[in-house]
Amino acid sequence: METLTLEPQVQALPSARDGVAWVLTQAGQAYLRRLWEEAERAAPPPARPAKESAPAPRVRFSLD
Amino acid sequence: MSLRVVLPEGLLRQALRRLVREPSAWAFCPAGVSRTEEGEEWLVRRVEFSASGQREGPFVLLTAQPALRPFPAAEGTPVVHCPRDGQPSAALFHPDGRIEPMTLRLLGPGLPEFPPPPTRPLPSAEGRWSRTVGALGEVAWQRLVGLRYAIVGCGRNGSLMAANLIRLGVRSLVLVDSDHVEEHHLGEMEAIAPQDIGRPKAEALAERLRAWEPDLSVRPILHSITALEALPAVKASDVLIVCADNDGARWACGLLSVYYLKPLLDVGTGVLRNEGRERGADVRLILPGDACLACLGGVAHPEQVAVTFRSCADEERFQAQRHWQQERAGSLRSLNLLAVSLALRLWEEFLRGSLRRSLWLHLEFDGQGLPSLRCHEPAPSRSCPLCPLLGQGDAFSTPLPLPAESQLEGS
Repeated sequence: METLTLEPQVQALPSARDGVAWVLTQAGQAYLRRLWEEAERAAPPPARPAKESAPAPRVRFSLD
Repeated sequence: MSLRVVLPEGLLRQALRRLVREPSAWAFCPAGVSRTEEGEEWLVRRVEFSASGQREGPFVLLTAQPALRPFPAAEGTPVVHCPRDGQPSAALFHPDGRIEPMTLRLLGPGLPEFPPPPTRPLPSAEGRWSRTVGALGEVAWQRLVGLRYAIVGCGRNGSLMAANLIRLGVRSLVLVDSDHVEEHHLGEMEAIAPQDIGRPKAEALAERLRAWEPDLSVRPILHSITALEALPAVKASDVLIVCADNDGARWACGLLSVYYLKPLLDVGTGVLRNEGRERGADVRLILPGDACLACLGGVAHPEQVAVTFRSCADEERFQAQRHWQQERAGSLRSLNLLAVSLALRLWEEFLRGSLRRSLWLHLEFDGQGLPSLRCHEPAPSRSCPLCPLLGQGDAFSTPLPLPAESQLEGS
């Protein structure tokens, strides 16, 4: 079996650099790059309080 | 047919931490599938890196490399390519060698999608929405108005939410409500007129909104969110907004959000019938994979969930027996406006990328009429009844989970 390549999909993405789609693509790409950089710095995932003993607060208002 | 992979940010982070150390590794991601009339969504549930062993059920392959070795797959396998520098992409690889393009949605700040969805013409400097675009930025506004919203509960908060989304430029709404307009709704609901009394709320609201904005796509669903009739429209939406006045509907939305990886905005208000006439609102932005309804405040009335989920007949009986004066002192449009505006502000900040996590805002007015606003972050619990169901998609099974026993006992 041959090696599969993802290149055709990459080429299908917008290339017009002055369009709104290009701006959206750049914003999304910047977001992904930030995730890579955080992974490279081995940044721990955002701290999440996980204390089973303390009762979790509950919502009070649920009408309209 | 549209094909999409939906990937929660937390799972992507988990995969990238491993791919930094082993750039050639593949992540096997067990996935759920959501099928609609438009196409299929593959919903990533977990990330695993073991390359051996038999795999059961659908999975998505995630890699940082542009080229893959062949892999056996009886059916098409989605492959997500997340390069360190470059365009992320997704494609469906078939055993016969065919490759179909897919879109990739990352369930994180800004809700980015690759390739980006169609955009709207930007307003001129003096045009309609030019100020909103100026405040939010072009990227966030395009995302905000390009998404499809399902609003569950079309009373005070729901009608205000629908009207305000349209004012922002949103053009696709689904309105879910089985209730009818009564005279006591007219004082606080948006857009409804005396001639709507007796009509289904969702239908009357949809008609009024269409008159405001003729190019609006608005679909009323005249059933409870717990009815199967509502499911296809909710699955086809991008965002779920719950403005219901009962926790059975709220819990159902929490379930659907987790099953189908839909961001959930929850809006609840109250002027309660107690000594201090407690007044306030609870507003939540819940991102599946980061939090769920149970992990971020739960529900105020778990007994309503138990009744709603027991049977259709029990749900109908419960709704028929309710009277607003038993549950509240009254309603305040000012409070509804505050709650809806807070929810929209959370959503706008999330789409701008400023707000990066799920958040719960608790607004309360004290005995002296002074407001306080508290922020709560998710408090995940190992015994959460909803989180294990992340991304289950169409494979969900009954019985549906209820709030934790401790909540039911404590109510």
